[in-house]
Amino acid sequence: MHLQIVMDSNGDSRHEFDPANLSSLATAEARFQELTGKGFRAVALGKDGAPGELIRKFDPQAEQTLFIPQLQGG
Amino acid sequence: MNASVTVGTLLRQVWWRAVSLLSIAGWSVANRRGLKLLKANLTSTQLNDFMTYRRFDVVGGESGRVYRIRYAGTMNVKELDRDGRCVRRLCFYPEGLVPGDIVLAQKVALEAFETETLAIANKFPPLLGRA
Repeated sequence: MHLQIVMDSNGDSRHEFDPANLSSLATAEARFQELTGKGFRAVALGKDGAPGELIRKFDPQAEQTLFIPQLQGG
Repeated sequence: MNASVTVGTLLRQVWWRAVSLLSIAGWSVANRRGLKLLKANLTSTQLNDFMTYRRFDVVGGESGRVYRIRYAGTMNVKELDRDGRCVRRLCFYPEGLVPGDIVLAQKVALEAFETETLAIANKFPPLLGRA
């Protein structure tokens, strides 16, 4: 199973999906489109804290994707 | 590394871990989740620095510059020069998140989309006399 982690006021929300299951994949892709459409940045997390990679298109191969709300300057 | 530095580091680690255990007891579930997510996404070096000093260093994904992220307050990100001195302070964050998530978002942003992040961040000069 692959995982989408969405940062939110509760810490985070986690959504698993099975890349081999078309229905599960469609749900994950819809979530990706919805969140990035709202300004979230999607990053495929590296292993053991290694740098991640910004992904602009849904990547079903990404094992863990972190969704970060829009950044702002303080 | 001499013995006094090693002992000092160990004492600092013991201190922060004890403080963490005591303070986390009163934290909300959200704060705990944020801290857990942060710790799960640090390298071993970053985690050790975080547990010892409550800060860790990140290498910018595009420039190779080093940034120091502290787990506290505003303007908690510093850009360092080759000698480890602060050249400027940065302020950027995602709104509405708990502290652990904010710090993790800052780390991931500098590593994965540094240029965009720097364009958003407000920049401030270093504080005099501080690394």
